[in-house]
Amino acid sequence: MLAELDVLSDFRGEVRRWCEANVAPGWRSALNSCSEDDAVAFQRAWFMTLHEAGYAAPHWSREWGGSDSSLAEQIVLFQELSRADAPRASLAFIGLFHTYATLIHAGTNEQKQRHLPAVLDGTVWCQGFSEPEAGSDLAGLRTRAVRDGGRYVVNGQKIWSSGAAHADWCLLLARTDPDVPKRKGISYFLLDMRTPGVEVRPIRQASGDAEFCELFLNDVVIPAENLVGAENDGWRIAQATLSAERGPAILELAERMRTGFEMVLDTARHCTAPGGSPALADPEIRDRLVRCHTEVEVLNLLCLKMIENLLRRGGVGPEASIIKTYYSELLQRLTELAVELSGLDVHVLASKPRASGWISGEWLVDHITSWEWTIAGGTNEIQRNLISERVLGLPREPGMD
Amino acid sequence: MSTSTSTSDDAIDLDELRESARAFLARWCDPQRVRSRLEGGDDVDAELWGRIVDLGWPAIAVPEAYGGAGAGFRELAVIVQELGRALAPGTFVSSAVVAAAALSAEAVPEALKAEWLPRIASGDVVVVALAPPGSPVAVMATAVAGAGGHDGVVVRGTVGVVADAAAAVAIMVEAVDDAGEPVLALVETADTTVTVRPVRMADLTRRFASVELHSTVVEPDRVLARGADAVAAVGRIVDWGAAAMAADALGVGERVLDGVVDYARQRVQFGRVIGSFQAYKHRCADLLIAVESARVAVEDAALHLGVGDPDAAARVSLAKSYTGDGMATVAGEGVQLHGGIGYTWEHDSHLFLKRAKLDQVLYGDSRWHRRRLAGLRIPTA
Repeated sequence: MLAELDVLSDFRGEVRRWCEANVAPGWRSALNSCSEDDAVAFQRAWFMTLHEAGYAAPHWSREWGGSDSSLAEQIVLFQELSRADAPRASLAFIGLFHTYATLIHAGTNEQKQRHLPAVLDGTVWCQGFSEPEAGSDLAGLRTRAVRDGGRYVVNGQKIWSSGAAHADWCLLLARTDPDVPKRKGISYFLLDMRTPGVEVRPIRQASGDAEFCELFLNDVVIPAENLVGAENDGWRIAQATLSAERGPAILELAERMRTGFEMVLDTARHCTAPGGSPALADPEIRDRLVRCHTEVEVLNLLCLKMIENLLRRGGVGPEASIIKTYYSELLQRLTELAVELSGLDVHVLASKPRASGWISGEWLVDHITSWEWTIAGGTNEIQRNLISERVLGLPREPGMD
Repeated sequence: MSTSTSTSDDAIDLDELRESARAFLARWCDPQRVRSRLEGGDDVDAELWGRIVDLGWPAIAVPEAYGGAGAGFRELAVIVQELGRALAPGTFVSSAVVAAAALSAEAVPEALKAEWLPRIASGDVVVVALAPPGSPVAVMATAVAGAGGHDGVVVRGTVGVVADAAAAVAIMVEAVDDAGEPVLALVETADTTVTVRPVRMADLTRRFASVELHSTVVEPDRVLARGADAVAAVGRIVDWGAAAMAADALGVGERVLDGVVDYARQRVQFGRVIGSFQAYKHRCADLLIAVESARVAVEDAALHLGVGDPDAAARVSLAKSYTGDGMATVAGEGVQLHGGIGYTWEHDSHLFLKRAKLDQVLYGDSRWHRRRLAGLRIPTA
């Protein structure tokens, strides 16, 4: 793997030059105070810029408009985008990773043809999985979909749908058979967000942002052609969706953590230690910095190893839960370190640029936002269940079916 | 995550090496044998060492020109990890890893290499007496005129804790001369001015001794390196020793995790196996995360060490501090998660804990390695 990365110097140079020409140096501050609409417009424009360069969908096959990049090329791309501190295509994330993984795994040819090219044209997707009463116990979801001839009628409520306010389509899980064990009665749908009966309400988060949404579904009609896979097979298909966010997508975040650590160093460079000496010369601060650096490097090594195992074995294994847990808790520690270094000033209210990923340099906001990662995508407590049950083979809690 | 190392062509060889090492140690260094040696004498396990020599392991790292296999550190790391898992004696690390690395240093005179490297490869034990990195060197070297116009040295002083010195035929001693310049000198244990006294450490699975040098004369042709060359050779000793300790600790951590998971599956309390309690299984998950993250750090250091990579020292310090601390914590959890039985002498948990704690400090403790890493990776302004 390391050797492969070395021989990609041409590709690396190409991406680096592209970043120099296309990443506007002031993008963060421009986004800092703009309106929600302007932020969405910025996201859409940035995504199209990436797509035109062939960098938006490196993991997609050429058949569907992707670049079919090797894993080594993807790593180089992530490294260079991260190094250039380029914006993340966060609004397109679910379409690029979750929708793609789901449809490639279980979609019909018609579904792929209708939806995959559209993702690259800018169609925004969101996810309708969690419910107020079905968080960690996702399989206990209650949203009902009742078949009525060639269509389903859906009623229920979804929550934590990231970006739903701007989404055109939704990956929806709903119960189609309430009389069988809970995992066996769930179906997977593609929902057009403009369908009558779909109501979206943003939720203001601890960070102050309102990126997550509630989704209210009242007699929403979904044509049967938008069912993915077989009726009642949705739980199994959802695993493919979830593995997409625990798989190679994490590589980009691991690379960006390195850039994040450079930002912590930069913060330290402008801080003083108690007593007034420069922070970077203070032994205690240096020890904390080097511990953080160590963990950032270990995260990158863990990601590379997971990807190598994936290549050899295929699919995403339960070890992805190790990475999710490690990444999110390291993100929390890294931002905590930066907050502590920054003292009182960092508590002065600042808004955070959207599309900045989870490390913007507005350290207090970044730190608060880090709980998104330890909670979302299956809380770290659920990840620890998965690790102990699926990797270590320990028994499930009695009563947890 | 599997224990395999990489997708490259030699990955299979490493996996095979690991399997055969594990099988060998299961047979010749089983828990009963480890136990029987705890309260026993201060000898090396001569029978086990003889079998290790028969396998050719001591020749693995010795350059081909001197009768060895000239392999890199990745092979060594696999073996050392298995030795840690099995709570095996430390002779392999002391001689075949650390002493072989020291003698292979560029500055060491050809004649010394030609004399001692083949002996290490064929099973003679040579060890290094080193002050803990960061501590002052207690052995003084005074120049004396030697044959052929070159100066020899007289060394005097005591090194308190030297691994496997009682089994050694020769000891490479780190000393400082009158000008404060470092000297690396080789003495033979048959020399009557060299006194080796067994020192029992909390870790009873390995053997240690103090080495007293009562004005031992070192002829010029036994001086391995001086000045900058000696600094480089000591750096090599620390790097190889530290990487080996990280691998040893990883093996300990792996085995502790296996033991905890086995126990979690069979111990019943409140009418169910304790491994079904979230409070317990989450701690098992944390042990796995610690072991797997240490594994990638050790593999990374092993990949870069011994191939002339200028970044190897940083990677070794990273792996040593991270793995040393992480596996010591894992071994402590191994005691706790077994409850009362885990605190008994007859249970192996304390053996793993004491070994991991010692691995954590040998060849540079975590603070020393983090400071070195910070010097290499964290700017000062």
